Amino acid sequence: MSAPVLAVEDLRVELATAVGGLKAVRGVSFAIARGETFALVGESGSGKSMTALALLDLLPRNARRSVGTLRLDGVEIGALPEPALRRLRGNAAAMVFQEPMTALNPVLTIGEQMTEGLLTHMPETPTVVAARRAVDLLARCGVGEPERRLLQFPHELSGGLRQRVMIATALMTGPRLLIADEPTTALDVTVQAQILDLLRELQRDLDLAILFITHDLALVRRFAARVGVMYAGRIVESGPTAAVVEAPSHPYTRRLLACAPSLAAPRGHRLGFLSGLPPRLLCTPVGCQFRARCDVAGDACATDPPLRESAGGVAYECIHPPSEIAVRGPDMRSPPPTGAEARAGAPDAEAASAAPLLRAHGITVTYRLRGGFLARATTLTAVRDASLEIPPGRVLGLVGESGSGKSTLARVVLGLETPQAGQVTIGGMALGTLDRRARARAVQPVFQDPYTSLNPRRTIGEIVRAPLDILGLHARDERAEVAAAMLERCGLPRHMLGAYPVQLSGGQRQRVAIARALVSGPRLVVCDEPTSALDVSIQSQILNLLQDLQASLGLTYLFISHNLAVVRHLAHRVAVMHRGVLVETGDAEQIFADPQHAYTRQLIAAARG
Amino acid sequence: MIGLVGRKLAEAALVALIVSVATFLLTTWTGDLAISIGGLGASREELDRLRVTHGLDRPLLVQYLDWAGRALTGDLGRSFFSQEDVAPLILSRLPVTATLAVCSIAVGVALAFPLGIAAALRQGSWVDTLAQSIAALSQAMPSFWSGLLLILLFGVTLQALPISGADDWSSFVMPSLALGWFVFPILLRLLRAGMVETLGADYIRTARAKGLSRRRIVLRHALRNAVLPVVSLAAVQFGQLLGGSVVVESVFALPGIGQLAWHAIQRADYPVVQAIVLFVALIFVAMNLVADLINGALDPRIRRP
Amino acid sequence: MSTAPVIVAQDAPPDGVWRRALRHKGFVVGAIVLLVFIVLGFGAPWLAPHDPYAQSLMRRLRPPAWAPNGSWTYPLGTDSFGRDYLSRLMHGARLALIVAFSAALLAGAIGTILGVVAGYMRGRVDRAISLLISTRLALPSLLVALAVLQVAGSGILVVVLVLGLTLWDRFAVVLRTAVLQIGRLDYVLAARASGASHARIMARELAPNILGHFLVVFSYEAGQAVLAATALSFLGLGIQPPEPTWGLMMAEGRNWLMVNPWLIAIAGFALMLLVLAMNLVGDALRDVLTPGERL
Repeated sequence: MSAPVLAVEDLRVELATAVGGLKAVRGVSFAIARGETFALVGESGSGKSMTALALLDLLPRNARRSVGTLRLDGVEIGALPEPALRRLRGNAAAMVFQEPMTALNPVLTIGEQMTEGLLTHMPETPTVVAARRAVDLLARCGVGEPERRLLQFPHELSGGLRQRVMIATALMTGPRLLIADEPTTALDVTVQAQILDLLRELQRDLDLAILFITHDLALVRRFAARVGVMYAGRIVESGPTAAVVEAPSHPYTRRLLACAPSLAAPRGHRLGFLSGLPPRLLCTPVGCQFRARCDVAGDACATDPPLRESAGGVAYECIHPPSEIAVRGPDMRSPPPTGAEARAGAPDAEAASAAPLLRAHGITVTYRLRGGFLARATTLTAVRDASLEIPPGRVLGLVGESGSGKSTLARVVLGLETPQAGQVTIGGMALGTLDRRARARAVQPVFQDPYTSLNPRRTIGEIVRAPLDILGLHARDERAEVAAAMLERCGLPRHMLGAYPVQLSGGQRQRVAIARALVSGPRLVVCDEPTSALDVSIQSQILNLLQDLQASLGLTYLFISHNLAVVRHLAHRVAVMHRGVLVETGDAEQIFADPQHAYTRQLIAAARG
Repeated sequence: MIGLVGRKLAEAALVALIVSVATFLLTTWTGDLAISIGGLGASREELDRLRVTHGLDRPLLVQYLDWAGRALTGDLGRSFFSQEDVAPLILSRLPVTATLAVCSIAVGVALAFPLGIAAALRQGSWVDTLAQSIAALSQAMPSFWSGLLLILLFGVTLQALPISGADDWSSFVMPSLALGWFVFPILLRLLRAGMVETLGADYIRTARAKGLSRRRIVLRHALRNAVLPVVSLAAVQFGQLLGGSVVVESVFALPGIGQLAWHAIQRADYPVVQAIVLFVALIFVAMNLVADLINGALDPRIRRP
Repeated sequence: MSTAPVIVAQDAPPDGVWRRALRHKGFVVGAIVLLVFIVLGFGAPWLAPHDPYAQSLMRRLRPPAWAPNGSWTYPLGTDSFGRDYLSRLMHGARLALIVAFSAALLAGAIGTILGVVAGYMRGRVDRAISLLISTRLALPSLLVALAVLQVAGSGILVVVLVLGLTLWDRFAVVLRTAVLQIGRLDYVLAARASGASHARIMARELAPNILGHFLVVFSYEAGQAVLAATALSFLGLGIQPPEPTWGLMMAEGRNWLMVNPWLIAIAGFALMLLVLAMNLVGDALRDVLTPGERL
């Protein structure tokens, strides 16, 4: 094997924060060969993006890096001064970032942004030649009408096109290494698949080495030959992707994989369980950083773990040999609460024969756009003639990409938006005829973003009991107790009642939001992407909680998600939304096994890869 | 872009209409015009006669329409005091005030840009602290006081500059410094905040990843974005200076619109006061429009939505 | 999928605001200066060395104590009527503070109501109020204030009313934007979904979250009110002689510019110090209460 394009040894990054030095990356080593893709996978805060930025020293100002050896194409670049590094950036090694919407400068043309790097590194290049190369690369990256694009501005392109532009820009100087930091995370599933295909093609044709940073295990499986799993600033396990994913060695990898919902698993299957939160990495961490969350941990884990080899060329950092982890690891699934099984097992036939709890009929919502003063208004139809029903005690999964109208439909069901046409009935009563209190008793929401769904100036206790105060439920002096009980039921200790939202993690906040929704005892809960902002391990906690509550309280969910695997995990029935229209509705098993509509097939294919 | 211009024009026209009503009501409500004309010693019969001859006995709406209609044709009435037509009077004073406004903005921009960019590039450093301290200090200094201090320094102690009148360029140096010193902190704060924000943007990281020079990143990528709101603020400030230089014109005895207004107010010369308030307000509306259009021209997101 | 969480300019944690404010240098310096002015101004009747109105032709235009011919009997010298300058400065501070806080309160009430209503109701109400704000911004406030004061007469109440009615625009603009932003957040949506009335949403969800914005604008506008009131009385309108307003003191000092420049320098310096203190407190509150927002 020839010398690797990139070889990193003992890379460290320390961030200066108000409370001290944070060791974000703690000695990372890996190598990537020509034409190879190496994926770094991890949850937020694991140090994967810091690693990517540290390679060419693009770190934020409060960060310092140190590196044992760092070789690009066999040349040591670890100690290069800034001007020499600048000659490498965007030249021998190029980067593609996550947010195509903000990673391009809004006031400069595509053409200028594509050519400026080439013109900087090779100033003798005539502008015409640079422009021609840009046109060629745009065409190569699947951007139609490339000549016209050069004169356009970023806001005139869709997210998928912008990411293609970003990739084409990165290739302008003919780099040998491409660092892609979550390049598809901000994109819709179908677009995501196209971008991955493009990257794969380019890699084959140009013999590129790719460092692929992602949080998404499913993507790694499809895209990378080798993978490194990051936790708390270190690569805790690395090796050929197939070996790591099929037979994980490190306890963290095993848990993480068990937490991810899968399209292949049947509904109701229980997700893995990973309690607690990652460490904060202040001071100087010693020992295995996963030990606080690990169920095979012992006293020996307080010392730095050794690197072990396991089958299939996999290396992992743990004091326990593979056999011990596999044997000693108890059931990774959290136990369902008692009494849940009986309710969950209600036969489908019974549910189907009951009158639907939610019935939405012919819902149409149109918005006036550009409603400026004296401006001619244009209209946008967000939802067109949508009808759906949910029997009591069932979960309907509403699937669609961004802008498909699914959140608008959710607001209509919640009574927060009045449709131009159509009617919603809950439990036989038309939503439009209910006053705001009766409506609140019938249906409650859980929103996506745990950082904006709780009022930062109210304590958790106040937030959870507010619906009781508004609706006048229970005696005044009992309300605090009812709220506390609901909070405990949602998995939060009682002492958190006095805390403020900023003191809680994202997952804990989402538990509060769920407690607030359920405390007044609604029959229907609208969950609008409730886990989309959460890491995989936290997502599994929330999904398990929602599943348990649904079963034990006999709740009915309208569960909205762009993530097919999550919907597959929870939903009895599935409705697919595309550009404001419900294109397919049916039994979950049936839709995943045999999708009828072309768009549904496309979605499922994209999610499977 | 054409749609944008049309929409902004319509909005400006609407604001202008409301401004004219407000101006009219202001002068009607704040005093009895008949008394202003006839003087406090006038008898009741005399006042009634004055009301009839000046049309003050008519309904308010009729009076407004009459006044606004004539204002549209450029007839802003005649001064009670000098019997001159107001419109030419204002226009004759405009060059002094406009010169002052342009020079003041120039002073403000010349101070704000280098300091603002330097402060944003070294956020939290001594440069930043210094720039922000100067801005805080100048924001706390009323322009008439800094004007008087300038007079003390250049006029009295050094005797280098004239302390009153508008004879040549040298008369404008001190007033422009005093007003520019007042404008500068607002521009500085906006530019610094804009630069800090854009320097932290994702596209700056992209630019760094391309290996561009620091100079190109700062000037072409960051400043190009941060300057957008500053340009429109400068246009609005210009509009405000045309009406807000009363005090400085008074301190330096500059024969501009501010001085005209101040004298008219002291003499209760209502047609002049009314006309100047309307004129200045319309200039402000116009400058706002200009600011929007400049922004439209500079920002492709507005130009080609 | 876990995209980075969208963190909207989150408010600071409710507890610990005091602690962080006290660690903020600008806040501490500004607050101390402000406190000194308040003590000296409102304590003037007891603390001032002389009667601020007592005239004497014998001791006209004395320079401050540190200048040649100065004496510590009149630490800051005397004015052209022979009144003790320090005593007048202290009594003037009281007038300045009263005008500043009352005018800013009035302006705050008007602007906050308009801004909150516009931001909360949106649509036509918002457009109507926005037009009102545009009109207010277009009218030259100093000219209007001068014209009104000329006919409405003098007195501290008139000055407060006039300034309050001309300085509300910033409150309206800032609070409208804040309410528009907060109104879109999920916790307001959740409150609506749990059946909360408009009044309850305004009181419990919006009010605590815009209090910070109000305080920030308030401290800036109090400074603006002092500047505007001084400019008005410098031109001879508003509070009338022999009241010791700083503006009147400077207007009078202007006549003696050649003879005794201290008359202008000291009053102006006091004014600058007070406004600076208010702005420093405003900047600090912005850093502590509404981080990440441009105000």
